[in-house]
Amino acid sequence: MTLILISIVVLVSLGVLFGIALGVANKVFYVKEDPRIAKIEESLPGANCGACGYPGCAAYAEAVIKGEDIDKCTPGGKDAIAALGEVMGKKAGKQKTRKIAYLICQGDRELAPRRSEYTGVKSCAEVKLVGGGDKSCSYGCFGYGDCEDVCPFDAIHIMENGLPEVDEQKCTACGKCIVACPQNVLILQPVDKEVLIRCVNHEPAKDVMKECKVGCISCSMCFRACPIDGAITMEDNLAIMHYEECVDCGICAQVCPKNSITDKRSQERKIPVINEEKCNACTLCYRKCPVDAIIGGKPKEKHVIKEEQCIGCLKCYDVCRFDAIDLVKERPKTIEFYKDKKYNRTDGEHVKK
Amino acid sequence: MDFGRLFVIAISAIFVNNFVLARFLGICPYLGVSKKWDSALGMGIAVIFVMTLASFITWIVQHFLLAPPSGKYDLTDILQTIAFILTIAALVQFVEIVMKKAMPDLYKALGIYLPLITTNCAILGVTLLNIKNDYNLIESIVFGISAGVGFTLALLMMASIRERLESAKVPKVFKGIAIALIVAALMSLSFTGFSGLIAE
Repeated sequence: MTLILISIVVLVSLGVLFGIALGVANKVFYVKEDPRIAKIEESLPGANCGACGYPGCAAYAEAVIKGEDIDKCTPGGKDAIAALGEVMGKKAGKQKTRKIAYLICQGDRELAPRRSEYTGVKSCAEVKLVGGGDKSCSYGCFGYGDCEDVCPFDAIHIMENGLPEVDEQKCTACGKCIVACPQNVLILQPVDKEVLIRCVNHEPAKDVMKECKVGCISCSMCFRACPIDGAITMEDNLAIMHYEECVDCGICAQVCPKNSITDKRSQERKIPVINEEKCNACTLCYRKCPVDAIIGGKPKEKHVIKEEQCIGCLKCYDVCRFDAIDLVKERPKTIEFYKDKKYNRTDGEHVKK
Repeated sequence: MDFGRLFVIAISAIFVNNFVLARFLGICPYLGVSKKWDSALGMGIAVIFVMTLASFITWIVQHFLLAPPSGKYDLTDILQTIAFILTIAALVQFVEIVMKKAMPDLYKALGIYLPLITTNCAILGVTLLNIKNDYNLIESIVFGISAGVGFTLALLMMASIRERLESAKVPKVFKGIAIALIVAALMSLSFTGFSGLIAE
C-alpha cells in the first residue's frame, strides 16, 4: 500500500515539477511570432505543392509577411489571394487569367491505334522505355496515367478512349502533370484559350498518316492561312503555335485538313457587323481588336468593322456591352482569302506576304 | 576514472551494438528521415543532443527519485518507463523553448526533428539501458553520446545510399520503402561483422 502511495507521490511531484518548469520557461523564453503567419497559413490550401516556388505553404506564408507577392498560390486561386490581401492589407496586381493543363494530343485508341500489346507496369515512363512505347505514334500520349497519379487535386483522369481529360474546375495549374508527362504533351494555357494545335509528331507526313488519323502532316495550310505574322511556324515537319502571338481566331482550325487543330468555338465563328443604332462608341471593341479592323476611337464616332481586315476572332463580340455586334456573315472558308493578309502585331502593320 | 571502460562503452554503442542496426531501436526515423543527407544530419545531431541530455537527467531521476540512495523504497519496476517518458518529453519541450529564444539558428536547423524525437524509442532505450547496465553518471553520458553518434552514423550511411538509389534503375515494385528495407537489412547484416570486436 505504501508503495502505491509513494509511486503516486513521486510521479505527481515529477509531473508538477516539470509542468512548473515548462510553464516558467515558456514565459521567460517567450518568442514573439507574427500572428499573421498563422492566419495566412490557414487561408492557403495546405497542399504543399510548391507551385509558389517555396518548399511548402508555411514557407510561403512567412515569405508573404516579408513582402512576397500575394498572388503566387495557384491552387488557392482567387479565394487565397483575397484572404491574403485581407491579412496583408494589399491588393494583388492585375489579375492574371487562370491557367489549366491542356493535352496537346488527340490520338485516342481508335485514331492512333496500338502497334503492340504492352503488359508491363502501367506507367507512361515505363512504356516509353520499351522501344518508344506501344502506341503507333511515338510522340503522342500513351494514356497510362502518370499525370493522373501525380495530380494532387484529382483534376486529371484517363478516360475510356485512353486519353486524359482535365477537369477545368479542379485544375489549379500546379504543373505537376506537366513535369510527370514523359511525352511532353501537357501544357499550361489560360482557361479561356480557344484554339490549340493538338499534335506533337515530328515525323514526315507519310509516317504520320499511317500512325494517326488526326496527326499533323505538315501541309502548312494553317501556317499560310494564319492572319497573324509569326503565330504559327512550320518546324521540322510540324506546325507550331506561338501562344504569345496567337489571337484565337480559329482560322487554322478551320483550314486544317486533318483536324489536328481544335477550336472550342468553331461553330460560332462569323464575321461580325456592328449595329449602328445600338453602338455607343465606347471604344471597347476598338481597343480589343487584335488586327486593327475596327474604325473608331474618336469621341462619338460609331464603330465600323473593316470587313476585308476582320478575321472573325469574336473578341469584339465578347467585349461589347450594348449587344451591338451581330454575327451574321459567314467567314470565308478558303485559305486563299487569308493567304495575303498577315498582320504584324509588333509593328501594327498589315503586311503582304 | 577508467578511460578504458568509457572507450569500450563508446565503441560498443557506436559499432558493435549500434542502436539502429544491432538493437533495432529508432527504426522509424531511420527509414523516415533518411531520404536526404541534409535532413539526416539534422536529425542525427538532434538525436545526439537529446540522448546526451536525457541520459544525464534520467540518471538523476532514477537515482534520487525512483531508487533513492537511502534505500527506503525502490520504484524501478513500476515507474521507470513512465517516469522516463515523462522526463524525456518534458526535457525536449524545455530544450525547444530555450533554444527558440537563445539559439534561433540551431532551432531552425533542427526544425521539426527536435519535437519528433520526443517519442523516439531509441532515446528511451538509451536511458533504460543506462540503468540496466549499472552505469554511473559519467558512463551514462558517454553511452548517451555514443549511442547518438552510432544512430547518426547509421542514418547518414542510409541517406547516402538512398540518395544514390534515387538515380539508380530500381524495378518499380521495389521503389521507395521496399528497396530501403532491403538496404537496411544488408547494412544490419554487415554491422554484425563488428560483433567480434569486443570480447567481454
